[in-house]
Amino acid sequence: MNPLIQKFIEPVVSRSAQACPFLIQKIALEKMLPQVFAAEIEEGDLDCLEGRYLKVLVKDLNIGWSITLRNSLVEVERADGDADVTISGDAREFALLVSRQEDPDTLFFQRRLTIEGDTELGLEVKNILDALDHENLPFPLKQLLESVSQVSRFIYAT
Amino acid sequence: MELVCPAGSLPALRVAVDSGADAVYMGFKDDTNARHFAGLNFNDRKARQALDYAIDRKVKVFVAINTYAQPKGWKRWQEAVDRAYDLGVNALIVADMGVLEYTCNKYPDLALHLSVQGSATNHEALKFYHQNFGIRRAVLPRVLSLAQVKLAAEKSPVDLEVFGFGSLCIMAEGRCYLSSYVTDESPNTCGACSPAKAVRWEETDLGRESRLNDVLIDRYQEGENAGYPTLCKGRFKVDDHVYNALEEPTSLNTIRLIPELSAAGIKAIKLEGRQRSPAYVEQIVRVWREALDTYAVERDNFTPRGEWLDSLSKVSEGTQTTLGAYSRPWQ
Repeated sequence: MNPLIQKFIEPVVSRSAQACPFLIQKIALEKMLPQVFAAEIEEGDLDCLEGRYLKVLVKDLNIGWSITLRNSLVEVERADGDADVTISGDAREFALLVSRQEDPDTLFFQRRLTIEGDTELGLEVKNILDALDHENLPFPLKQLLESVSQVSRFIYAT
Repeated sequence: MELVCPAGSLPALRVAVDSGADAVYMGFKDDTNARHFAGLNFNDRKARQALDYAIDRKVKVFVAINTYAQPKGWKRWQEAVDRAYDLGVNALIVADMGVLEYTCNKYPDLALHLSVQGSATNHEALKFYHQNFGIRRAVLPRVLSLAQVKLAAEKSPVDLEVFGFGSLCIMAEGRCYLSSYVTDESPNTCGACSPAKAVRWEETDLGRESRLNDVLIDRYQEGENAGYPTLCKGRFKVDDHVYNALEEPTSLNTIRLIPELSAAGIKAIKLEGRQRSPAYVEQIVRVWREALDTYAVERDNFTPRGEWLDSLSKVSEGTQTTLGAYSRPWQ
């Protein structure tokens, strides 16, 4: 880890994330997630989230969302209500996870990620995330993922 | 020795192929394989893509149909065999004698590997499977010591494959019903050890608690590594003493034994982990490819590199590795 860079970057990311109004986050996620998971929604792989809530909490940034599917449409809500399953961890862990630099089980064994609630739903979402074909993502999203990957490699390099 | 690598999804398969697998093994999306977890494994379309990707790069594909067919579901096991044959896979990994017989009668040209779940531990057992079902390879259970592996290999009528790396269970492969004892489902019957629907994790004041069908399996203190919530890896109170009464969460790592396994005539090394992510598959396959290639050059002077062992320990359950029964000096 590069503590110096982390010291400068994290507060900036944290403040911008918290300063971004929830409505903007909601609109952005509801636009992005259906694109990322287009094939999975189409094939019914994500039916497990129909009417059920997955809560994602990024602890160090103090932000989070409750995500559900309603008639195959993604809905994002505030993370203050109940959820069927809750996955929580720091921003670093989520960055390493989505950019496929770390294995979620490893993070879980090392207590860097927490899963509470319906374990089967959490596992299914994890497996769908693992099976996601990054090659097929729309170009801007592929770029975004590549940036997350590079930035996290840069900040969190061990 | 052939490097046989796990693939629970298409991205995992691609990364295994790209990182140096000689063969990959996968399962279909039902209880015909021993990693039957929600969201994992291959539907017809993904299986086709997987086959195309691997074959183009001259990597073999094995399909695990390695659970025991249940009376009500026999058709499902037959269909899995038919589907694998139609896909044109290189071999099936099978445990159940009914499935073995169905396959060798209907598709005599399709290579059969006896799954580790078949639990064949000596050359007489291997001979039986060879004579009756024409198996071409068997995966040896991890209960065997290196001396026993050598003994089985000396007289085996078929090629042998052994486990090289991965989460270790209680080493009664094909015969373990501990999961069934608590949840009514086990790998042999339903394709899942400690099915996720029976698992609950909870952060409490006493620590992180894992429960299996409401039975407390373990409680981890701050800073303690967690393991899979299986009955065999739990900590229990025995005579007022709380400890891993059956076994500790750990991973098998036999990189050090490569020269001996090769000398014994072992034809393939299997890496465990179809339930793990592409990131894990990439890390372990890359290390093992490098280790086997290094051995091919150095032969007698082969010594495992520290960075290989570090990198494998990092992704291990319990972050510790062991030689398991291979190192058992007693018989």
